[in-house]
Amino acid sequence: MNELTILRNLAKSVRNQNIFSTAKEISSIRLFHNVVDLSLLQQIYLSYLYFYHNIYTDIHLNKIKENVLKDEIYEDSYMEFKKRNEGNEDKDTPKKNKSLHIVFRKRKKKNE
Amino acid sequence: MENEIMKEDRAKEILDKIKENIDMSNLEEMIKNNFISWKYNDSEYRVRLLNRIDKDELYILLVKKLNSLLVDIEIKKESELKQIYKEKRNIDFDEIDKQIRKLQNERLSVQLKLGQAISEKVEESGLAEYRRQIEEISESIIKINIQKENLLAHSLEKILEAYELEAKTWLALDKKTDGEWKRMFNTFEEFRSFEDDVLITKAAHYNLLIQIK
Repeated sequence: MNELTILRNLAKSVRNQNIFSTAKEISSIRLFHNVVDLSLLQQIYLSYLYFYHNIYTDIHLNKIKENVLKDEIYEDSYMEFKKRNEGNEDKDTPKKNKSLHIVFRKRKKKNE
Repeated sequence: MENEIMKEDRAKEILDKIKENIDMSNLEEMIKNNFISWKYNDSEYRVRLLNRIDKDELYILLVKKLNSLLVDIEIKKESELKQIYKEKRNIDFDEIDKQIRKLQNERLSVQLKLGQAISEKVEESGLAEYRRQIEEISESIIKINIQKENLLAHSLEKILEAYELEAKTWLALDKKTDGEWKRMFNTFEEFRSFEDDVLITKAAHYNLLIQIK
Protein backbone atom coordinates (compact mmCIF):
# COMPACT_ATOMS: atom_id res chain seq x y z
CA MET A 1 0.00 0.00 0.00
CA ASN A 2 1.48 3.34 -0.96
CA GLU A 3 1.38 6.57 1.03
CA LEU A 4 -1.50 8.03 -0.89
CA THR A 5 -3.70 5.00 -0.28
CA ILE A 6 -2.86 5.05 3.43
CA LEU A 7 -3.64 8.77 3.53
CA ARG A 8 -6.96 8.19 1.79
CA ASN A 9 -7.84 5.40 4.18
CA LEU A 10 -7.06 7.65 7.12
CA ALA A 11 -9.26 10.41 5.72
CA LYS A 12 -12.00 7.87 4.97
CA SER A 13 -12.08 6.41 8.47
CA VAL A 14 -15.21 7.18 10.45
CA ARG A 15 -13.12 8.28 13.41
CA ASN A 16 -11.21 10.89 11.41
CA GLN A 17 -14.36 12.01 9.62
CA ASN A 18 -15.96 12.60 13.02
CA ILE A 19 -12.95 14.59 14.20
CA PHE A 20 -13.06 16.58 10.95
CA SER A 21 -16.77 17.37 11.33
CA THR A 22 -16.32 18.34 14.96
CA ALA A 23 -13.28 20.48 14.20
CA LYS A 24 -15.34 22.42 11.66
CA GLU A 25 -17.86 23.24 14.39
CA ILE A 26 -15.61 23.66 17.42
CA SER A 27 -12.50 25.71 16.84
CA SER A 28 -10.68 24.37 19.90
CA ILE A 29 -10.57 20.91 18.31
CA ARG A 30 -7.70 20.84 15.90
CA LEU A 31 -6.65 18.37 13.27
CA PHE A 32 -2.97 19.23 13.42
CA HIS A 33 -0.56 20.50 16.06
CA ASN A 34 0.46 23.36 13.79
CA VAL A 35 -2.10 25.96 12.85
CA VAL A 36 -0.27 27.49 9.89
CA ASP A 37 2.35 26.29 7.39
CA LEU A 38 0.70 23.02 6.46
CA SER A 39 2.98 20.38 5.02
CA LEU A 40 2.22 18.75 1.67
CA LEU A 41 0.99 15.64 3.50
CA GLN A 42 -1.35 17.72 5.63
CA GLN A 43 -2.72 19.56 2.59
CA ILE A 44 -3.41 16.32 0.74
CA TYR A 45 -4.96 14.78 3.85
CA LEU A 46 -7.20 17.80 4.27
CA SER A 47 -8.37 17.63 0.67
CA TYR A 48 -9.21 13.93 1.14
CA LEU A 49 -11.12 14.70 4.32
CA TYR A 50 -13.34 17.02 2.26
CA PHE A 51 -13.49 14.49 -0.55
CA TYR A 52 -14.78 11.70 1.74
CA HIS A 53 -17.01 14.09 3.63
CA ASN A 54 -18.77 14.71 0.30
CA ILE A 55 -19.12 11.01 -0.43
CA TYR A 56 -20.42 10.21 3.07
CA THR A 57 -22.94 13.04 2.75
CA ASP A 58 -24.24 11.63 -0.54
CA ILE A 59 -24.46 8.14 0.98
CA HIS A 60 -26.34 9.61 3.92
CA LEU A 61 -28.71 11.42 1.54
CA ASN A 62 -29.23 8.09 -0.22
CA LYS A 63 -27.91 9.47 -3.51
CA ILE A 64 -25.45 6.59 -3.80
CA LYS A 65 -24.86 3.21 -2.20
CA GLU A 66 -22.18 2.54 0.36
CA ASN A 67 -20.37 0.17 -2.00
CA VAL A 68 -18.78 3.23 -3.64
CA LEU A 69 -16.34 3.13 -0.73
CA LYS A 70 -15.08 -0.31 -1.71
CA ASP A 71 -12.71 1.00 -4.31
CA GLU A 72 -10.68 4.16 -4.95
CA ILE A 73 -11.58 3.98 -8.64
CA TYR A 74 -15.29 4.04 -7.75
CA GLU A 75 -14.74 6.97 -5.40
CA ASP A 76 -12.72 9.00 -7.91
CA SER A 77 -15.10 8.25 -10.76
CA TYR A 78 -18.16 9.20 -8.75
CA MET A 79 -16.58 12.46 -7.60
CA GLU A 80 -15.47 13.26 -11.14
CA PHE A 81 -19.01 12.61 -12.37
CA LYS A 82 -20.47 14.67 -9.53
CA LYS A 83 -18.10 17.54 -10.20
CA ARG A 84 -18.99 17.64 -13.92
CA ASN A 85 -22.66 17.17 -13.24
CA GLU A 86 -22.80 19.93 -10.68
CA GLY A 87 -20.82 22.15 -13.04
CA ASN A 88 -23.46 21.57 -15.72
CA GLU A 89 -26.26 22.19 -13.26
CA ASP A 90 -24.61 25.47 -12.33
CA LYS A 91 -24.41 26.46 -15.98
CA ASP A 92 -28.02 25.56 -16.65
CA THR A 93 -29.46 27.08 -13.51
CA PRO A 94 -29.79 30.84 -13.69
CA LYS A 95 -28.43 32.59 -10.67
CA LYS A 96 -31.56 34.07 -9.18
CA ASN A 97 -29.89 35.78 -6.29
CA LYS A 98 -26.91 37.20 -8.07
CA SER A 99 -27.28 40.48 -6.24
CA LEU A 100 -27.00 38.79 -2.87
CA HIS A 101 -23.22 38.40 -3.00
CA ILE A 102 -21.91 39.51 0.32
CA VAL A 103 -19.60 42.48 0.25
CA PHE A 104 -17.17 41.99 3.09
CA ARG A 105 -15.31 45.23 2.84
CA LYS A 106 -15.81 48.25 0.71
CA ARG A 107 -12.67 49.97 -0.38
CA LYS A 108 -12.59 53.52 0.86
CA LYS A 109 -12.06 56.15 -1.75
CA LYS A 110 -9.11 58.43 -1.30
CA ASN A 111 -9.89 61.65 0.56
CA GLU A 112 -13.15 60.17 1.79
CA MET B 1 10.92 4.07 -31.88
CA GLU B 2 10.18 0.90 -29.95
CA ASN B 3 13.86 0.00 -29.95
CA GLU B 4 14.79 3.30 -28.43
CA ILE B 5 12.28 3.72 -25.72
CA MET B 6 12.51 1.60 -22.64
CA LYS B 7 11.22 -1.93 -22.89
CA GLU B 8 7.79 -2.44 -21.44
CA ASP B 9 9.08 -4.97 -18.90
CA ARG B 10 11.50 -2.46 -17.49
CA ALA B 11 8.75 0.14 -17.20
CA LYS B 12 6.57 -2.41 -15.42
CA GLU B 13 9.41 -3.22 -13.05
CA ILE B 14 9.76 0.45 -12.10
CA LEU B 15 6.00 0.73 -11.75
CA ASP B 16 5.96 -2.22 -9.36
CA LYS B 17 8.78 -0.68 -7.37
CA ILE B 18 6.78 2.50 -6.94
CA LYS B 19 3.88 0.44 -5.68
CA GLU B 20 6.10 -1.40 -3.21
CA ASN B 21 5.00 -1.38 0.35
CA ILE B 22 7.02 1.24 2.18
CA ASP B 23 6.96 1.30 5.94
CA MET B 24 4.37 4.01 6.40
CA SER B 25 2.63 2.64 9.46
CA ASN B 26 3.37 5.87 11.25
CA LEU B 27 1.84 8.05 8.56
CA GLU B 28 -0.92 9.05 10.94
CA GLU B 29 1.72 10.44 13.30
CA MET B 30 3.38 12.28 10.42
CA ILE B 31 0.20 14.14 9.58
CA LYS B 32 -0.09 15.66 13.04
CA ASN B 33 2.86 17.99 12.52
CA ASN B 34 4.42 19.85 9.66
CA PHE B 35 7.68 17.97 10.29
CA ILE B 36 8.57 14.29 10.34
CA SER B 37 10.89 12.96 13.03
CA TRP B 38 12.41 9.52 13.44
CA LYS B 39 15.06 7.64 15.40
CA TYR B 40 18.03 6.06 13.73
CA ASN B 41 21.16 4.59 15.33
CA ASP B 42 20.30 6.03 18.75
CA SER B 43 19.94 9.56 17.40
CA GLU B 44 16.87 11.60 16.58
CA TYR B 45 16.35 13.29 13.23
CA ARG B 46 13.66 15.36 11.63
CA VAL B 47 12.79 16.87 8.29
CA ARG B 48 10.88 20.13 8.54
CA LEU B 49 9.37 22.72 6.26
CA LEU B 50 11.88 25.19 4.91
CA ASN B 51 11.80 28.63 6.47
CA ARG B 52 12.49 31.97 4.81
CA ILE B 53 16.24 31.81 5.49
CA ASP B 54 16.44 28.28 4.07
CA LYS B 55 14.55 29.39 0.98
CA ASP B 56 16.95 32.28 0.42
CA GLU B 57 19.89 29.89 0.68
CA LEU B 58 18.17 27.48 -1.68
CA TYR B 59 17.55 30.21 -4.22
CA ILE B 60 21.22 31.20 -4.30
CA LEU B 61 22.30 27.57 -4.67
CA LEU B 62 19.87 27.00 -7.53
CA VAL B 63 20.91 30.14 -9.39
CA LYS B 64 24.57 29.11 -9.13
CA LYS B 65 23.78 25.61 -10.30
CA LEU B 66 21.67 26.85 -13.18
CA ASN B 67 24.44 29.17 -14.33
CA SER B 68 26.97 26.34 -14.27
CA LEU B 69 24.62 24.07 -16.23
CA LEU B 70 23.90 26.72 -18.83
CA VAL B 71 27.58 27.10 -19.77
CA ASP B 72 28.09 23.35 -20.04
CA ILE B 73 27.60 22.56 -23.72
CA GLU B 74 27.19 18.85 -23.00
CA ILE B 75 23.99 19.50 -21.06
CA LYS B 76 20.88 19.98 -23.13
CA LYS B 77 17.64 21.65 -22.26
CA GLU B 78 14.53 19.51 -22.45
CA SER B 79 13.40 21.21 -25.66
CA GLU B 80 16.82 20.60 -27.27
CA LEU B 81 16.83 16.96 -26.20
CA LYS B 82 13.37 16.47 -27.65
CA GLN B 83 14.57 17.88 -30.95
CA ILE B 84 17.58 15.55 -30.97
CA TYR B 85 15.38 12.55 -30.21
CA LYS B 86 13.09 13.55 -33.04
CA GLU B 87 15.81 14.10 -35.61
CA LYS B 88 18.25 11.35 -34.70
CA ARG B 89 16.14 8.65 -33.08
CA ASN B 90 12.73 9.17 -34.59
CA ILE B 91 11.12 9.66 -31.19
CA ASP B 92 8.48 12.33 -31.33
CA PHE B 93 7.55 13.79 -27.94
CA ASP B 94 4.61 15.66 -29.40
CA GLU B 95 3.24 12.29 -30.46
CA ILE B 96 3.93 10.83 -27.01
CA ASP B 97 2.12 13.76 -25.37
CA LYS B 98 -0.76 13.35 -27.80
CA GLN B 99 -0.93 9.66 -26.87
CA ILE B 100 -1.01 10.53 -23.17
CA ARG B 101 -3.76 13.11 -23.67
CA LYS B 102 -5.78 10.62 -25.70
CA LEU B 103 -5.49 8.03 -22.96
CA GLN B 104 -6.39 10.59 -20.30
CA ASN B 105 -9.50 11.54 -22.24
CA GLU B 106 -10.43 7.89 -22.68
CA ARG B 107 -10.00 7.33 -18.95
CA LEU B 108 -12.11 10.35 -18.09
CA SER B 109 -14.84 9.15 -20.40
CA VAL B 110 -14.93 5.73 -18.68
CA GLN B 111 -14.76 7.41 -15.27
CA LEU B 112 -17.81 9.49 -16.10
CA LYS B 113 -19.70 6.40 -17.22
CA LEU B 114 -18.73 4.63 -14.02
CA GLY B 115 -19.67 7.68 -11.96
CA GLN B 116 -23.06 7.80 -13.61
CA ALA B 117 -23.58 4.08 -12.99
CA ILE B 118 -22.73 4.62 -9.32
CA SER B 119 -25.17 7.54 -9.08
CA GLU B 120 -27.82 5.28 -10.63
CA LYS B 121 -27.06 2.70 -7.92
CA VAL B 122 -26.10 0.02 -10.43
CA GLU B 123 -25.09 -3.27 -8.78
CA GLU B 124 -21.38 -3.85 -8.32
CA SER B 125 -21.25 -6.48 -11.05
CA GLY B 126 -22.20 -3.73 -13.47
CA LEU B 127 -19.30 -1.56 -12.36
CA ALA B 128 -16.48 -4.07 -12.62
CA GLU B 129 -15.82 -3.73 -16.35
CA TYR B 130 -15.51 0.07 -16.10
CA ARG B 131 -13.13 -0.40 -13.20
CA ARG B 132 -10.97 -2.82 -15.19
CA GLN B 133 -10.79 -0.43 -18.13
CA ILE B 134 -9.80 2.52 -15.94
CA GLU B 135 -7.10 0.49 -14.26
CA GLU B 136 -5.72 -0.66 -17.60
CA ILE B 137 -5.66 2.86 -19.07
CA SER B 138 -4.08 4.29 -15.91
CA GLU B 139 -1.28 1.73 -16.04
CA SER B 140 -0.64 2.59 -19.68
CA ILE B 141 -0.44 6.29 -18.83
CA ILE B 142 2.00 5.61 -16.00
CA LYS B 143 4.17 3.42 -18.23
CA ILE B 144 4.38 6.03 -20.97
CA ASN B 145 5.12 8.76 -18.45
CA ILE B 146 7.92 6.68 -16.96
CA GLN B 147 9.36 6.08 -20.43
CA LYS B 148 9.17 9.80 -21.14
CA GLU B 149 10.79 10.68 -17.81
CA ASN B 150 13.62 8.26 -18.48
CA LEU B 151 14.33 9.68 -21.91
CA LEU B 152 14.56 13.17 -20.48
CA ALA B 153 16.28 12.21 -17.24
CA HIS B 154 19.51 13.96 -18.19
CA SER B 155 18.03 17.20 -19.37
CA LEU B 156 19.08 20.46 -17.74
CA GLU B 157 15.68 20.75 -16.09
CA LYS B 158 15.85 17.26 -14.57
CA ILE B 159 19.40 17.73 -13.35
CA LEU B 160 18.34 20.98 -11.70
CA GLU B 161 15.29 19.29 -10.21
CA ALA B 162 17.41 16.51 -8.68
CA TYR B 163 19.84 19.09 -7.34
CA GLU B 164 16.96 21.05 -5.82
CA LEU B 165 15.67 17.95 -4.04
CA GLU B 166 19.14 17.28 -2.67
CA ALA B 167 19.58 20.88 -1.53
CA LYS B 168 16.15 20.94 0.10
CA THR B 169 16.94 17.72 1.96
CA TRP B 170 20.15 19.24 3.24
CA LEU B 171 18.38 22.42 4.40
CA ALA B 172 15.44 20.59 5.99
CA LEU B 173 17.34 17.86 7.82
CA ASP B 174 17.86 18.48 11.54
CA LYS B 175 19.49 16.35 14.22
CA LYS B 176 18.67 16.58 17.91
CA THR B 177 21.81 17.58 19.77
CA ASP B 178 21.72 18.21 23.54
CA GLY B 179 17.93 18.35 23.40
CA GLU B 180 17.86 20.95 20.63
CA TRP B 181 17.14 20.60 16.93
CA LYS B 182 20.03 21.83 14.82
CA ARG B 183 20.71 21.60 11.11
CA MET B 184 22.61 18.35 10.70
CA PHE B 185 25.14 19.58 8.16
CA ASN B 186 26.54 23.09 8.18
CA THR B 187 27.42 23.04 4.51
CA PHE B 188 25.97 21.43 1.41
CA GLU B 189 29.39 19.90 0.69
CA GLU B 190 29.33 18.12 4.06
CA PHE B 191 25.88 16.79 3.25
CA ARG B 192 26.91 15.58 -0.19
CA SER B 193 29.98 13.76 1.08
CA PHE B 194 28.08 12.02 3.90
CA GLU B 195 28.15 8.30 3.29
CA ASP B 196 25.16 6.91 5.17
CA ASP B 197 22.75 6.39 2.28
CA VAL B 198 20.04 4.90 4.50
CA LEU B 199 19.70 8.10 6.50
CA ILE B 200 19.90 10.41 3.50
CA THR B 201 17.44 8.38 1.40
CA LYS B 202 14.95 8.37 4.24
CA ALA B 203 15.37 12.11 4.75
CA ALA B 204 14.93 12.75 1.02
CA HIS B 205 11.79 10.64 0.96
CA TYR B 206 10.25 12.43 3.94
CA ASN B 207 11.31 15.74 2.45
CA LEU B 208 9.28 14.93 -0.67
CA LEU B 209 6.27 14.21 1.52
CA ILE B 210 6.24 17.50 3.35
CA GLN B 211 7.72 20.29 1.22
CA ILE B 212 5.36 22.36 -0.84
CA LYS B 213 6.85 23.04 -4.26
